Amino acid sequence: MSTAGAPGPVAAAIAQKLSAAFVPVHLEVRNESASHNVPPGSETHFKVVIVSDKFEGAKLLDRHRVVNSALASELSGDVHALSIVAKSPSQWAQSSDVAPSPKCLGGSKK
Amino acid sequence: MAVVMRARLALALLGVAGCAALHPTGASRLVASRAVPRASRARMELAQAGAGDANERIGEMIGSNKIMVFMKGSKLMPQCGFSNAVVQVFNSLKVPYATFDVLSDPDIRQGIKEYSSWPTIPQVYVDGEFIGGCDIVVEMYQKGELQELAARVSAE
Repeated sequence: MSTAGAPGPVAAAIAQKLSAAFVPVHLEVRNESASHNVPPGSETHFKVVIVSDKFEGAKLLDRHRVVNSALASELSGDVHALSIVAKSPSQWAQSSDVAPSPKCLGGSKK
Repeated sequence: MAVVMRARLALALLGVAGCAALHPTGASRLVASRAVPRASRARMELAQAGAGDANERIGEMIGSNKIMVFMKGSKLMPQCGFSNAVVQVFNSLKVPYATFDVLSDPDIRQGIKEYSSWPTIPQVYVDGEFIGGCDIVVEMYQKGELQELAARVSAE
């Protein structure tokens, strides 16, 4: 689930909350903190890829809003970057490309 | 043509590693604080930087700029990869857009999150309407939707 080793507690909480809220048919929680200007082992930068029936017919902005809402406590805590790919199963069937997250520029200290 | 532009953008998005050392945060703060109108700053001091004042200033910015980007750093020196990606997208569209560096102003940095009910930076407004952050802007660009929207509002 995370890029290296077992998922940390924050990644596990993100996965658990998204599973409960959206019953996804596909879910990835990627800890991308290692690419950023934070200490090793940090859980600050994440990308989630989530595919759920609940996104069917929902606008792009609304899909992102509900994912942000589900993770509100994480986002107001230690997580300060969250990249979201949220698709319905039919959209996922059309394209399962996940663009790489932008590289860190080093200035986004919390 | 579109394919070439997209390929160039992809390079721009991916080719930003290693720039951080060239971008001391102090420099960008200096640039950004100059961008805050003197009147706004004076008013902020009077109001002791209250939340109401931040909302008013945000409203003025998104009301007076067809495309308004709240970001970390400036167009020339983005301080975050997500902010940089948004700048690269709008630069490639060759449309006028304004930016505000939230690192220069903690009231706006917090205020914009509440104003938009959106937890992260960057945030993009087009024609007074909240569009979303980096993921959404890039996805709209890849679908060609952002080009249409930007061309429409810039022509008005």
